Amino acid sequence: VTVRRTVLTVLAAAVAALAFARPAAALAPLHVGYADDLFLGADADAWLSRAHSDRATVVRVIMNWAFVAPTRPADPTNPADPAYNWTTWDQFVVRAHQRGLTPLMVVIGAPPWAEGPHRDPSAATGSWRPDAQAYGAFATAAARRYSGSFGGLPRVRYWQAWNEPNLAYAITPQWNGATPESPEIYRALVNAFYAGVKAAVPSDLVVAGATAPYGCPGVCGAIQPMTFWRALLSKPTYFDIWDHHPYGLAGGPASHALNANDITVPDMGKLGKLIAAAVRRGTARPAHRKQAWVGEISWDSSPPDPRGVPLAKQARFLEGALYLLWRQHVSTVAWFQIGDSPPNPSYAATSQGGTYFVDGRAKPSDKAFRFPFTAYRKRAGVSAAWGMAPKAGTVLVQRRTRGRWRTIARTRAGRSRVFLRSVRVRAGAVLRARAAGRTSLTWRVGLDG
Amino acid sequence: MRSVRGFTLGVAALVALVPSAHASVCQAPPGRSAIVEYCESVPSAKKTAHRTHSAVPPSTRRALEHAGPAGAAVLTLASNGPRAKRHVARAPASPPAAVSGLSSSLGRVGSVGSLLLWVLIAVAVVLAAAALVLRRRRASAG
Repeated sequence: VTVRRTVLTVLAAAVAALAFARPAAALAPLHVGYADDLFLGADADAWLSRAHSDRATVVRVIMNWAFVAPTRPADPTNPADPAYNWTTWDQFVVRAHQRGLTPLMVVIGAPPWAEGPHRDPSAATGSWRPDAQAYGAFATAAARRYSGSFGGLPRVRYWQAWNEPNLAYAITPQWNGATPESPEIYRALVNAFYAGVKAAVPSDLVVAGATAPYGCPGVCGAIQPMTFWRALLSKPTYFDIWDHHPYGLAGGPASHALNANDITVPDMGKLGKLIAAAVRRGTARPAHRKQAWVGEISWDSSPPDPRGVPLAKQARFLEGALYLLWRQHVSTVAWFQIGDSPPNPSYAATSQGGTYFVDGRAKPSDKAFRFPFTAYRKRAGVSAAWGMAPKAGTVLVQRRTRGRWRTIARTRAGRSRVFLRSVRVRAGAVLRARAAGRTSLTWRVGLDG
Repeated sequence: MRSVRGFTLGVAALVALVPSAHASVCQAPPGRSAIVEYCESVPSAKKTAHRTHSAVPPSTRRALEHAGPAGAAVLTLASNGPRAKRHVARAPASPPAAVSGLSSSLGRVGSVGSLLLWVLIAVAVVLAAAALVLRRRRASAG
């Protein structure tokens, strides 16, 4: 009996020790990266190196189907078909691989030969009823080319079916009378894409949706994302990961969308529930838990965009968005973009959401990207100090008091770099984190929630 | 004095007209007002009264409140003019191209109208202040 008691006591102690040890180790990872076609351009090497030094893991680029296949290939599933021109993406994949970056290919834009009949002359290029069968065959060719066993090219594991299919620039028509039509068109595309990718490399993963944040409450050129996803998942749809782009307004990452069917950062959980329900219902297939990704998000900064948010605010919004998305179980976030776009034709029509200016100078948001730190209030007098340290190890949470920094809490970041620690601080307190010899930007408690 | 007052009232009338052009059907992310696709439709005024913002910011409002009858007239017109009606009457129901065109044109008018509004309000405030100063000088001279 004594031996049994001793064993039970030891077991109980071990379980208790594991339970206490768990929080630091069990924090979900957050993979961060950039979505930017600068990675395909003339200065791709420099921009990919900046992404690497920023500790980005994912680099998301557009693969333009019409560009790769301007004419119909004789053997569409064969990546070596002479109709295909992969040069730009071959170079990108090699450069990304050299830096240990994970590519995400977004395949969009039907070639003229793959658009549907009776084309509306006002429809955006490559958007009109794309041929799902041809799209699926192209997906097979692309996944075979970047399977890791073709011509010495590295592997691409993540493939995204189209982009922002709830907008008319991407898919037309959006509506058939008062009935959403783009979800029907998109379902055929993503199902063909999924089958095409998996036929080539079954372990590759397919990202679906990548919906834009807003639509009109009625019939117009944009369908609200919740409406789009509900219609999409009314019938069987195949994907591994869902993606949404929760671009926010001036209120920042904690501000909900104005309309119930639009989705900004704090509404991501709502969309996650809808998709989880579709998995249970059997329309989101295969029946496994879907990862949640954010393939694009950012706020334009001023400078250079006179209508953007101040540089310090952009940095704060970046950090806040990362935390609020992580809290809603988003596992990957790609910031749009790494470098600002030139203002052609105008600042209002282009993105200046980069963490670098167009000339390659870093903004404060770059420091935020490298070492994000937030301290949103949990309840009166208690905040959740959250961040991503430069690397695994000890993290100090510090408060500024009379001009001096004093350590108020100590925690540990695991391999995922993520750390989380409750701290007792009042609204208005100024905090920062220190880890691996580096400091985060400062965070004023209660400014944004 | 009469000409100053007349001009001020004229400015006030213009201010009253500008908000109808200024009213927009959606809110864009900062710095991306020309990208219609990323514009969020503003729900009806009735449902989201707490979210709608006055056309007059607090600092300008305070200046107008202290600018006498002309300032009060400008404030009333700018706050309660055609803008409020515009919010009720902007449910989108047109085909895609038409709405897209309407949104972008409203966006452009909105940005120009916004600048014009502030210029006109500033002119009105300056004129009202000048009128007050003139009146006081005349009163003290008489």
